[in-house]
Amino acid sequence: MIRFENVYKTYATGVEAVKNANLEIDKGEFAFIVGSSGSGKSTMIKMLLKELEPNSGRIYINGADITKLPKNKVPNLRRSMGVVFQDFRLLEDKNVYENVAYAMRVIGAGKRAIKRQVPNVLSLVGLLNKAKAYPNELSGGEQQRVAVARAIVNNPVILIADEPTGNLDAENAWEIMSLLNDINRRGTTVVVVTHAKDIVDKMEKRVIAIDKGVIYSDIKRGGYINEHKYN
Amino acid sequence: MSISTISYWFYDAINSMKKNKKNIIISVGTMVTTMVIIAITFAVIKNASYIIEQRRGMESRILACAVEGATEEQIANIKSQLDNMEEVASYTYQSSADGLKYALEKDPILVEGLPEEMLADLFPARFSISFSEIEHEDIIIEKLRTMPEIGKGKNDIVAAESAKEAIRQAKIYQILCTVLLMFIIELSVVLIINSTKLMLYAKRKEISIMKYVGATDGFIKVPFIIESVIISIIAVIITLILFSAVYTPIIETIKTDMSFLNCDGILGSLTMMLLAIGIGVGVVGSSVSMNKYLDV
Ligand SMILES: Nc1ncnc2c1ncn2[C@@H]1O[C@H](COP(=O)(O)OP(=O)(O)OP(=O)(O)O)[C@@H](O)[C@H]1O
Ligand SMILES: [Mg+2]
Repeated sequence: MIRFENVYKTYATGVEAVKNANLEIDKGEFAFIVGSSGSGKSTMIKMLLKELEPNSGRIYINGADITKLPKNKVPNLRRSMGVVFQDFRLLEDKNVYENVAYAMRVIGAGKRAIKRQVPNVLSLVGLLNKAKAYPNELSGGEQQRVAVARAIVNNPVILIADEPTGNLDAENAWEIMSLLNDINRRGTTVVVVTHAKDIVDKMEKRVIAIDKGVIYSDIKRGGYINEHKYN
Repeated sequence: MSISTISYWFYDAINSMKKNKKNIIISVGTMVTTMVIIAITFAVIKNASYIIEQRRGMESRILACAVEGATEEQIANIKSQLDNMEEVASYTYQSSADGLKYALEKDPILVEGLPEEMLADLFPARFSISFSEIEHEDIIIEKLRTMPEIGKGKNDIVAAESAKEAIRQAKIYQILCTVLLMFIIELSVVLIINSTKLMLYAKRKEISIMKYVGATDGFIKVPFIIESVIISIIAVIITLILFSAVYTPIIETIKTDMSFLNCDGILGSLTMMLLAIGIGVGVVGSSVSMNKYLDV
């Protein structure tokens, strides 16, 4: 489903953010990417979204090499993936319903499909009663649930979350993670970058650890990772 | 592209306008200002063409004086040459004596006490030559110059009531105004490019979010283009209201003095032109700006 082959990324400043990353995540998997601040986690995610290009190496999604993807095909790539960020990234001018509906509108979904699907995902994330609210009228946890709803409304094959719980308290963090877990159970491949150690330990999923741009550990089913490298 | 997408674009454009009322008012205000200038310029161009049309149909006259002390024979000669000139529609002849008589009748004090020879100088035998095609003015003057019986002095051949001159002036106004019009249209494109640029900057975060969700550039652009077209249309309507409230009454009052001015039918063509310019400028300006600056 997702494959990194000898991927290198060096920023214009000379920072070697990702060094020779090799990684394969299968369809239906749930994988955590952990590592200290500045270790290169977000850089990997950005390359998956084609926000950044690797300096060398190949990245495959669904068997297709996205490093060869022309610029005008990038929107199509992003539609096949749902993305959730630490800072929610909701459209402030639009209410909850319209934020979720927007992801369907960009793919040209019809009125009927939108009317059916948006309430569906809103009830899945428990926000049907807030459909008319604007992002600034919601708590952080609620905003992130809207972001998750938007990420899954088009039934993507992959869901990527970069520190989705970074701005949330423990309770809300756990709620979002369980939500992601539910989504994974319905068949979506889920990749989560996180610092939330206790949640990672509790969920017992695959844990990929990265430090200074190097993947140094990849444990298939949770477990202990060197404490000082992973906080 | 489905109907629901198109209707969403409109919905989104109108929604965003409701949320940014202040900016919309500023944009509309700027557009109305430029459009009022466009409308005035257009009215001048229109009136100039009207003057030209009117003058073209008018008879013009050339005054030509015979040489000093011209004989009967020389006068007859001039007459027969004028008779043979196809450009000349008609002419009248006024002998030196007739001229003097007329002047005496009209204003006796003017000629009082002047010696006879001087009076003859003052009132040479003259022809008033009428013609209807302005293009003929130069030809007739040229032919008159070659006639030995016609005076060679600077004031001996005069284009009196020349349509040509009026048209020349009207054309100058017309050209100046057309240049001004082009300049203003360009200026308003620049204005739209800039305001779109500012708006894109203000919305760059929103736009980057839209791109994360998989929106194509086109999908993002269309509501903005619709927005500037709607702004243009509002500005056109306001301009037309202002213009018809001000222009028509003004023209009606000064019309008696300047019979050449007209306002019939100008509103119709002005509406068409402002709409075309407004929509064109809105679409071109905002697309150019987005093609340049949408890369967020
Ligand atoms: N646009 C950029 N230009 C230059 N250097 C960058 C840029 N973005 C990130 N870096 C550097 O690359 C390295 C990896 O950054 P990255 O954002 O991938 O870290 P991270 O693992 O996501 O960290 P965090 O957990 O704090 O989000 C860091 O040293 C960072 O300073
Ligand atoms: Mg990061």
